[in-house]
Amino acid sequence: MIILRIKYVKENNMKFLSHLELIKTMERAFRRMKLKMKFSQGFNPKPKISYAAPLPVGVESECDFLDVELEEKVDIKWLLDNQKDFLPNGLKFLDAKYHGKSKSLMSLVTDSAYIIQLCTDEHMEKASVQDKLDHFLSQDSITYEKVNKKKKVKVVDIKPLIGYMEVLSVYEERIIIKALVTTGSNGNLKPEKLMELFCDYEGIHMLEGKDRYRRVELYARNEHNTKVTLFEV
Amino acid sequence: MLRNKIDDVLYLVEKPSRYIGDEVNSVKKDIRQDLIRVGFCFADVYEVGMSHLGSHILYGLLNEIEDVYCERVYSPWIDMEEKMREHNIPMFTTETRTDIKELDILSFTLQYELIYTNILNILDLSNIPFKSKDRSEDDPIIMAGGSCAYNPEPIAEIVDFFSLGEGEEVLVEVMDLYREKKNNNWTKDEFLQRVAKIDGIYVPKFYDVSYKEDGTIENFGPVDEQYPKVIQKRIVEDLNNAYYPTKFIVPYTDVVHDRANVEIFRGCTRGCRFCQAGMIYRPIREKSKDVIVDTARKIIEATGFEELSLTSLSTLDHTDIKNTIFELIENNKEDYVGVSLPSLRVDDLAVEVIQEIQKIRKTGLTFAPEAGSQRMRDVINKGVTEEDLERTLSQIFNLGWSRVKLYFMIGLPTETREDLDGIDDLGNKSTWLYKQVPAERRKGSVSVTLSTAGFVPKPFSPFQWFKQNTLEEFREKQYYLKDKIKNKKVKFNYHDAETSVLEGVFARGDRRLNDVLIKAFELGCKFDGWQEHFDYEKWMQAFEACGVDPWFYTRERAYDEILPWDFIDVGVRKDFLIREYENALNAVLTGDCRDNCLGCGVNIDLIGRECW
Repeated sequence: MIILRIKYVKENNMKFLSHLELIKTMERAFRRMKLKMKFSQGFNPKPKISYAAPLPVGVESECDFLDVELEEKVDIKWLLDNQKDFLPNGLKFLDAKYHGKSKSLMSLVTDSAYIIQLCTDEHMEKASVQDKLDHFLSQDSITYEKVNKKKKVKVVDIKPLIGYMEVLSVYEERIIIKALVTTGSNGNLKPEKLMELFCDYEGIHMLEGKDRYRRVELYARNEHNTKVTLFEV
Repeated sequence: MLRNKIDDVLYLVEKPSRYIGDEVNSVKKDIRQDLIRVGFCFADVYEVGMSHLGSHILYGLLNEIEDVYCERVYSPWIDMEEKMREHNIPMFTTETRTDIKELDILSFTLQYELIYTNILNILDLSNIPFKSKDRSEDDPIIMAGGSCAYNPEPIAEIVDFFSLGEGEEVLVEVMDLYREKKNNNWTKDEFLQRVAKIDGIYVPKFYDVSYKEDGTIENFGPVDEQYPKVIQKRIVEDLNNAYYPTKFIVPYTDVVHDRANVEIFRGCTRGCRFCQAGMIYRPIREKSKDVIVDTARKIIEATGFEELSLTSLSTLDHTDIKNTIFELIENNKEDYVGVSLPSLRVDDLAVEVIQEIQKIRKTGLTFAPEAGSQRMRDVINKGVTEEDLERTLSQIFNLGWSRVKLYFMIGLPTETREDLDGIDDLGNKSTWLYKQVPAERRKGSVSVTLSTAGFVPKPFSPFQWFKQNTLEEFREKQYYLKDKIKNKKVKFNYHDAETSVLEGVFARGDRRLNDVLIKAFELGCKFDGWQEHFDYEKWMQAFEACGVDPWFYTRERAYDEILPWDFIDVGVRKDFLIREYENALNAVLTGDCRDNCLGCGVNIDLIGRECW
């Protein structure tokens, strides 16, 4: 079994692609590259490509991963050197490595870090934003009510899902925050939800539709429960 | 900057990838002063517009010209339009996000009549006056082409000039002339006077119309002798050597026809009497198998599409279709590129081809018997018998298909209850035929969809004189069928009758509809082709406000009446159309004109040689 794991960037215009659109775009790029992909059986054969952690529309990433199963190896150097001829602007392969049979990428992912930009209607000092973050995180639990598919209300505590939150900078009415959150099958916290709860709790008026997210790191855990990249796992 | 302003609103709308452009194979050019900037506009949402083959051909062709930059323009969806108006964002091109008002030429492709209000909406978003006479030298010149341009009159006061027929050659001539306009600083009028003399171009402002007391046309003609009385459509003679793009734009979002399209011929010899396309695209011109196969390979290489579609008006009529399809399947099966065909005629060749195609990818099957009874199929000159239908359905069920879709029209000339019953009968026959298949070959339960659309008589078809069914008649027939179809395995679909009658009004309309259209837009009509947005009441208000009776246009026409589109010559003679209409009324089949030339006139008037 030949599996090529690729680390890629999704930014600029490509942030507006939904996950399904990204899947189609990648498949067609691989086809243009004439990669010998392995296909599923059946009446509607699909190439075997799997993704680590689907991004919502509008979110950028500089650290996403996919696994594509191949019939024949492709030269990684060729792939990285010539990718520009095949990929649309905003998608870029950073690195690629072959590996054998592996657990699905999606099940490996445990944490991700985001850079977040918020716009508010008042200017705040960096220190005061950090104070608010600390204050927000000092709660014993951070809960909200979630309505599930059966329309049942469930109280969710996201405190255990937050790794850290820190202010990187503040300029004019923009706040830049970095946060590490749990991602994947063992709990998942969306940064949008985190910001909503933070701003609500701290009384920050966040301007609607102006918050921006960029995923900057994606991690798995090794046997010692240490964060490692998806190439290392 | 407009670019950033647009980016900001893209966070707030559904499917923003419709608006980002920058797709693989979209064309980028450096913006220079001498560039002729064209906006090619399909006035519907991106997913629909991007599925239109003709736009891709002309986009590619225009961009081959060094000093021409053709960009795409699509209608923003309702949510996007709202945001654009809220943030003062004008209508912009997909490629460079340029305000369309800054372009030299804005070209609309007219594929269905119900797109007209969207054209106005696009102009409105960039504050471009609707009527030709109200626009200044600074506004773009507005042209239009496509199948609805064969009756240009309902939008003749809006469009500066129309291009009739196939655009590959005439557009190059128009660009050459526009270059001269730029170099010589001609006014718009000076340009229009000259463009009016290019074959196949119609400039409405140089033509006058007068009406009789009963509302029919008394006189129609050029205001000045220098302009042609009759405008003949343009065609490309040799498709094997004509321009055809291979670097098709690869969309991100799911467009309606999300695949590689290879055109295999133009024209059609079947002579179905309801069919405008079968008349206006004559004569038949095929591409050779080698050209088709080579084009397909290049498109797949340049795009990475996983499906390849052979398009034409009746794909299996290509004289070398079997070899072509088999070769394409052979070339593509290793890469799992499926081959698909548009809706099929019902015959043995279809079964043979389907059998081969399913080896790669299994797709749904759609057939178009068009009418339920044999008598009615003879009226429309469909040339498909009940036995053909039975045999085909039985064969495809035996091959393992269990879902089939059948297309019909209701409201055809001479239609009776028995003809409608025939649709129900075909549904029952289908499910019965499925039951005859040995159980081990059946895949689950059978599902038959009977889909009906209200018939709209179109210019240049033999039914152009026919009185269209009224809203009430259509509804009554729909309800009748809905009640009648009891089979649980049969699904019955029908198109909204209100849109069919409005389409009928505009299809055979005249210049007096320009004001109605503008009024309807002002009342809020847009996306009329989308059932959820179509507002029949507002349209009726618009007709009333303008003092125009819509049903004047759907009435039966006399053979000696001057029809609004009579000044256009599509190559098919009126006496042929009359003969065919008479044959229809007598349910006389005339068959395929490949077997027996019916003297439509195309050979003599248009190409000066035998069609075949």
